[in-house]
Amino acid sequence: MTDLASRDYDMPRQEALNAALNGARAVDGLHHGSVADYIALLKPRVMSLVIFTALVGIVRAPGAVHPVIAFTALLCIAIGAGASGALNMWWDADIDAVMSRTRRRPVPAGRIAPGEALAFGMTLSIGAVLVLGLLVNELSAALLAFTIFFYVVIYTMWLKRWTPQNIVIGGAAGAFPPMVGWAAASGGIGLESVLLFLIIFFWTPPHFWALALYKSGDYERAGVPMLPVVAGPSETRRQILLYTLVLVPLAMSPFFLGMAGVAYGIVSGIAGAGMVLLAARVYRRREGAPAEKAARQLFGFSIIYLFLLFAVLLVEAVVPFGSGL
Amino acid sequence: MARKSKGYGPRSKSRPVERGATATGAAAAGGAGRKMASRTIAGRSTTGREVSGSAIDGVVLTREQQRRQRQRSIAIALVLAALCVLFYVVTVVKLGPAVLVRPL
Repeated sequence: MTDLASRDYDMPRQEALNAALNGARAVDGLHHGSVADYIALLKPRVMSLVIFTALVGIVRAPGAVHPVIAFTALLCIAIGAGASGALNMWWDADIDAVMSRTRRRPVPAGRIAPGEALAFGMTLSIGAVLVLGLLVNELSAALLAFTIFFYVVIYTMWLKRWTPQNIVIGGAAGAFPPMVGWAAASGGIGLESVLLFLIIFFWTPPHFWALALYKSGDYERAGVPMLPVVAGPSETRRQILLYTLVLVPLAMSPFFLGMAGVAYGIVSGIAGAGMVLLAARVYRRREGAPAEKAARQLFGFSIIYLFLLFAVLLVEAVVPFGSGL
Repeated sequence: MARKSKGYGPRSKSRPVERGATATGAAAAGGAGRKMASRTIAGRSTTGREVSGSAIDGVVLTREQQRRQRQRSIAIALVLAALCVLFYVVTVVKLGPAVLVRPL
């Protein structure tokens, strides 16, 4: 199976890129995208998850932060995340064009020129880091800059097309926002913020590999060495189960370490059991429609799982009696 | 056309280019292709799209492109205004009451 990693994917990718660009390249190098196209470049759905987890980091951090400063930090983190998305779409336009899930994005669809996406992403990245550093603090700005660098250069440009461990290591980029939020509010990095980082870090592989299981054809066509393409579905199912077995106790650790209340303990326990159940189902069902259904269920539930964990942490921090529940 | 002095006319070799036109010919022709890809004839481009009468350096925008450009300009203006408000408010918050306690 590892031979797939070295397969020559250049032709289909080049054909797709040519098709996308020949159909839409403007004479003046500009594509005149609408405002909605530029908003799409920011990956609003990913951005919403980043905002939510960063908010939890801000709220859980020790000490008091002025609401206006908290809002500014959240805005900068959101813009930084969006800028990363725009730079990701600029670099990945060729593989986005051949994947059904991404071919309607503004760059491969020809509504925005690659150069425009690059300029947009760079402007927002620099702006977000500068404003965060000037108006909030230097540590959070440095962490945000590193997050953008990690996502765009380490993950998008290097790991994504090179190793099946791409989303394992690259998952760190998605795990940084609560730590950035924590640093913005407290000026430091605490143990709880590291735990929040680790929860998202270990959540990412089962989440993305579940998606990759039923979209492996897309990834194979695009030449992205996702685990199901390189190591096969069986190994992917085994890895999903292993990562889930690490994730669930890790997600419960804030309760056992006294950093979260009973409500969090109960929710993380029940939802964690759901994750293990669905991961085990993915491991058992290996053929046909039931296998795809199990992967889809795990992918969908993993989003709810992460949302529940962070929502309870948020409620416990905001509601006075929350931690006593 | 507005730029008669540049020789844009029925007999001119160089003609205005519609922004956003496809670049099959232009790409092949390199820099020179910028003025060869698509020409406007009586307010319509050769691609059949209606174009406006205004020309900027020989490049003519379609109505849809003009509408999008206006939308983007409004969005940029709103973002800049929001940034001004944000910097003002954050400055007030950071200075706090200390803004009044300083030597004259």
